[in-house]
Amino acid sequence: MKKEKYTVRSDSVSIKISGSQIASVKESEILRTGFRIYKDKKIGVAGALGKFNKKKLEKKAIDALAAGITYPFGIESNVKEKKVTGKLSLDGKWLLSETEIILEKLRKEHPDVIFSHKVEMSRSKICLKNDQGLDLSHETTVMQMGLVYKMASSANIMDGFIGYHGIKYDRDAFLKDSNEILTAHKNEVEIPNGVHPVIVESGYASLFLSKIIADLSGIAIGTGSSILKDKMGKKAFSENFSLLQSTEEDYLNFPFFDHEGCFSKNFRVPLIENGVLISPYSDKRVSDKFKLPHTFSAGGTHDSVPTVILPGYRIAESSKTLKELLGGRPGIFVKMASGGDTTATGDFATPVQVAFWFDGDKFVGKLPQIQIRSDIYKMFGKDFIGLAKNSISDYTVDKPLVVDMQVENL
Amino acid sequence: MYNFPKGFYSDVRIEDVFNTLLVYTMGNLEQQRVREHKGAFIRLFDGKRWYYASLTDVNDIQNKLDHLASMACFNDNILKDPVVKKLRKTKDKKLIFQDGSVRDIPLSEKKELIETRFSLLSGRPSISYWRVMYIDKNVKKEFYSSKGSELSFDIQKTGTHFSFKMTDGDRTFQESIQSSRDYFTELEATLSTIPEDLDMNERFMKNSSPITPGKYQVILSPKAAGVFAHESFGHKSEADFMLGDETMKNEWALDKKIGPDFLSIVDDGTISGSGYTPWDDEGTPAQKTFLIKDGVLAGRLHNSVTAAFLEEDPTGNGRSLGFEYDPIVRMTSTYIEGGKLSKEELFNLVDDGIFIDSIKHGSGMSTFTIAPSRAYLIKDGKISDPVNISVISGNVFSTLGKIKGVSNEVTVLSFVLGGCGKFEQYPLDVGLGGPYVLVDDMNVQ
Repeated sequence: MKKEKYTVRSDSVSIKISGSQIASVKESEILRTGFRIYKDKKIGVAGALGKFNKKKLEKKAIDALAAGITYPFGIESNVKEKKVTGKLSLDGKWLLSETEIILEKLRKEHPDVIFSHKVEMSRSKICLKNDQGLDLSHETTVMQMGLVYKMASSANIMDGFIGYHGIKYDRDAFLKDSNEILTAHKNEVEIPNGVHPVIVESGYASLFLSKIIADLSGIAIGTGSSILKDKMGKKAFSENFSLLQSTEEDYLNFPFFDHEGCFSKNFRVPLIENGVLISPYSDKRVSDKFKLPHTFSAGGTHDSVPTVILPGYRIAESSKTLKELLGGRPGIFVKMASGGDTTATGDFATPVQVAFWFDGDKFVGKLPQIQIRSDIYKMFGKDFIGLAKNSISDYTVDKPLVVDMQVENL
Repeated sequence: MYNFPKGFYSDVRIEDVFNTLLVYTMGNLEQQRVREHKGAFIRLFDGKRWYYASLTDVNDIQNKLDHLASMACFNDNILKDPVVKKLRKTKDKKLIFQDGSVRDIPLSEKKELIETRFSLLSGRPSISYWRVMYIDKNVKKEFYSSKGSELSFDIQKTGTHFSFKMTDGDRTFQESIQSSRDYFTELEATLSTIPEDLDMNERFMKNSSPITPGKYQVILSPKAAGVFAHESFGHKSEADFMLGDETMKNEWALDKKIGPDFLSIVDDGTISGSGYTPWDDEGTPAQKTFLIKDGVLAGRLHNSVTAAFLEEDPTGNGRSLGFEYDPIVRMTSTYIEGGKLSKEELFNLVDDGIFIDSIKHGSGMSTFTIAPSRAYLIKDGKISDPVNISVISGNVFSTLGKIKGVSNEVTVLSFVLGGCGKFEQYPLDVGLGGPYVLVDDMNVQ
């Protein structure tokens, strides 16, 4: 019998904003623990929230073996690695003071705008240890600025969003960028229907990539239910398009190791390289079942049996800046697009609620509501322009992705 | 119960949660999770700001209350605060799921319920991948406040979710069939239609073709109509979007005519199902609230803060996702009321249009969207060829004016998976539904 423990400690301070004023302050301390027992090629898992009795939890995990969930795979052993991402300290008083300063400046600069939502600092520490010498931990402290804005004269429930999610904080830079967006928002511009370069930040790239990600799952490929099933090893997309699974340090939503304690040496696994489909993503179970490469792609909750997911991913950067990628063409920078979807055959369409005209250097003006459409083979094939090598702000790791798409006014 | 600090309003919500999850992929058990835990959310208000704490050690509640008080400013007149005045003092109990609690159903019975249906999926050549889930949840809530409220109540859901991918050459189609009920004993009957549902989805996969984008007359199924009501109008009725905002206050002036006379949209937390909550997470009782009545803007959804701001009464819509979250204004069960036409009479109004049967998701701001899963052409009042649609969309207010008819039978649906999202609080259990609804001039892609 082998024993393994997965813990997630999440601490946060969150400041809620309503009507451009601080409305509440919230402190949260949550500990989640999962206990895993491996015996006779079976796995038993039990979980607890908060303080727990170790013996009782272990017994519950042992009892769970009776469910008969198979796990005929070796568990990781003799690896010790620790990462700490982010140097910000979790300080509620400082966060409250900063939020007051930011709001005061925004209210002064933009009296015609109402701000809401929240500013949050959170620290999460995820650990995976077992009695075979595995000892992994990843602690991340993240700042999240999330300001929903609304023009005071607008009848919309919200007009846009400014903010970021990252390990750095730069008040002046954040205010400068916010001012640029809010100023552009007040300058309404129009765009003719037609094909235009559409820009989203890499953190929002799932808007375009969700179908490819879903259909690159080892289960989808292995069961033959993926539209990419006959394209493995073949060139299906642009020479310039490469997609990597990534749990590199700047990818903040996942630890560097997966739910089974696995990780690649450079924390990157190629899935699509220069347009060629290299590998679906799989955990140990999916890899074994469908004879696919094991890509260290296990996820789950603290108390679940590991299951296949794509943890972090990134599109490989081009060698060009955003301005160079646009090549003198004005771009449509999408900031908010909800309600769209991709059909089973890969056709994609979405309304865009908030988008700006971007001239290569700055946000120029706000566009009316538009619709963008294409299909996955065009978006990442002939119409793929690239991922810029530069971020538009120093405090974010997001980089702009540019794709030519059909744009129509709604 | 607690020594509530003087000079403040404060309340404590304790949640005792039981939750089962069984996941089978292609017949193999992959997850068997039974969670039982307690947690608490504490709020303290000094008349200017709220101070919150969420914790998993319920023995530490008093310490946290005192800690929050140390952060706030003493207010001798807190009981005269407009927000505090809106909060009630109620002592009551509604534990309706003590008999028939999913906590008492043996795991073996839950497994048997779904395992006996595996052959429906595994024996069908068109299905290349399938997954079956059983989910239940029973939550006992206790609520105590410095005004003297003492409440205890429970909520429960139980359900199954069959998801599958069908493949036919290059064609693929993904769909799911889910059932949700209050009691485990009610689930068996919901599973009898699975073979017919699978046949229908198979026909759709094999015969559907892309729609020509354009403007169409559209009939929404009760589920699609419910999503439309929820996304397009329900979220706009949540009064926290109006805080500090005179334009929204004026825009949403009650008694304004915004739809046809036969259109009424309701939110009601008292009816059974996913949206049931006898009291909200501030201790306010649930009620039936007309958002639109006979085409006229009739009401909006409140918690204590928004009710005080708009000088109205709380509506029992201060809801949270769980003990880690603060109560914000959320819907419960939102639906369009029925009209006078039969379903057939409504369809006969359409010569050339589209019927949205099932959907994947929806969203709503000024423009609402619905991503259909199964949709069909309507020819001369009859459902005909299946079509693939990415998304239908429209402006909320102009679409309300384009509603041309509603059928007379209303279905309010519950869901065992998914729910409503508002910022980070996703997925919240809600119900939604309506009759069949005919809308002119919808943008279809």
